[in-house]
Amino acid sequence: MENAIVINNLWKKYKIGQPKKLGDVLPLFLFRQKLKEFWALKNINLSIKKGERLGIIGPNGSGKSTLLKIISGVTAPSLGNFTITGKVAALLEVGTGFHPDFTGRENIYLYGTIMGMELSEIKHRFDEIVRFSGIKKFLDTPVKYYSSGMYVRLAFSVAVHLDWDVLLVDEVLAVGDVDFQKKCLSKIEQSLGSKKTLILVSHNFDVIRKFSSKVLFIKDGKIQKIGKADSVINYYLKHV
Amino acid sequence: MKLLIASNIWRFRYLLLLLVWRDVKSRYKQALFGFSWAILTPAFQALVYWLVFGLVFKIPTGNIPYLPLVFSGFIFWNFFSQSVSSATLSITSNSNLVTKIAFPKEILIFSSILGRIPDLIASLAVLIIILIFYQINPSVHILWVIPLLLIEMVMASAVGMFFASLNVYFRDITAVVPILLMAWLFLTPVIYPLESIPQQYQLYAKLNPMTGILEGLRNAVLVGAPPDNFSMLLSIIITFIFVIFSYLLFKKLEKGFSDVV
Repeated sequence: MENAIVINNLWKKYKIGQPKKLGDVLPLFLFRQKLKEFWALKNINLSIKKGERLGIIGPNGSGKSTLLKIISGVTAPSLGNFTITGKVAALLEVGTGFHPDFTGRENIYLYGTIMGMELSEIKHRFDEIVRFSGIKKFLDTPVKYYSSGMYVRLAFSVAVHLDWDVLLVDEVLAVGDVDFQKKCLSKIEQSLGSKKTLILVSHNFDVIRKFSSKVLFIKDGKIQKIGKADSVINYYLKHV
Repeated sequence: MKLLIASNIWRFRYLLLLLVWRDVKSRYKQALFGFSWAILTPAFQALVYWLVFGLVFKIPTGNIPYLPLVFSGFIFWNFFSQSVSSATLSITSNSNLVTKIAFPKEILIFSSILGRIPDLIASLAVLIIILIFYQINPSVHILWVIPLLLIEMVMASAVGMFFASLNVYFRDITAVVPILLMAWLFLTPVIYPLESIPQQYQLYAKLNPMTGILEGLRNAVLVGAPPDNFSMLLSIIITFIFVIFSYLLFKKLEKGFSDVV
């Protein structure tokens, strides 16, 4: 089977206390001070085949979200490289790509265009997206007035109707109500098929068990274990 | 490189359009007088300078009365300076997009410049009324306005990309740009004609690409003459060099935007 994602020796460094004023830069320059560095990801090697469903687990601050951010292209790796085949859709944070001043309607278009959809495609699926979200009443309200649940509903409704090959989901579902979570998960299940790849970050082991064909446990920026769901989850529970 | 810019824009053309629309819409929704500010701002500026330099100091302006000279100067200058101001802030003020979505960030620069076009068109309508009032008849050379505005937009995106990328790392730029634009306004023939600069300094004035652009625009509208070849060529060359430099700098710094902004 063909690979959907290949990651080679990937490292990500963040600098702590990046200066924002010229006044902060001067001492750094004059006294040759260095900023503190933090390696969020350390030597990640990973390949994910097409059609695979990868669950990622790990404690807070372990590098899960950074990894998804790199795969989605939002931030660049400091070292190493990665390749992706196919269209990527990312649900990294609640309302990723939404603009607070835009109405729900406008955000459907904004998010769709960001994901590289044609306007005609969005128009074509618009009613379906709205029906799925169940927030038709608030379609012309700016999303900044939405509750976090409505936000997630809209974001997810657009995302599940996108045409993607790789879907990245980062703990977004935790915010919606149980019914909507179920609805989304079954929609993802329907659209998954044999060629679509899913990467799911979650603290909910039931969801991980249900969706993952493979689970990855990451801690302190390093891959600790990768394998079948149950064995990795058991390992995780023992080691955290 | 140019092809790269073009393909990026083409792929994200709908995003560009939506951002332009958002920009224009939010600007006019919030202000009390809405769209009329596009006209009131240059009108007020022109009025003040007309009182001071037209009536009190009586700057010699040749065949052209001072009021149309300064008003046309301001609408073309404001298009540039407002484009630069909003482009400078475009990366930092869209941090929610920058930190969460993968897209070429120059889209934000271009959208803030294109978003200024409705203002320009509204103020051009007023300029036409002034031209009629002063009985200035346009000639076919008025068509020069179109390529000249395009060059002006290229120059605005060059300056915008330069300051926007630095502004991500040093917020001091937000404070520096307005001061710099004010100085630039006085160094460019906006409130005075090029001829009032002493002959021996004119070459230096023409090294400022905005001089050729502004003079060209004003010639096209008020005199009905084509732009001066030498000034124009100089403007185009300097603009071109600057836009390449800015784009490369922008692309280099862009990699860190989502981590730093």
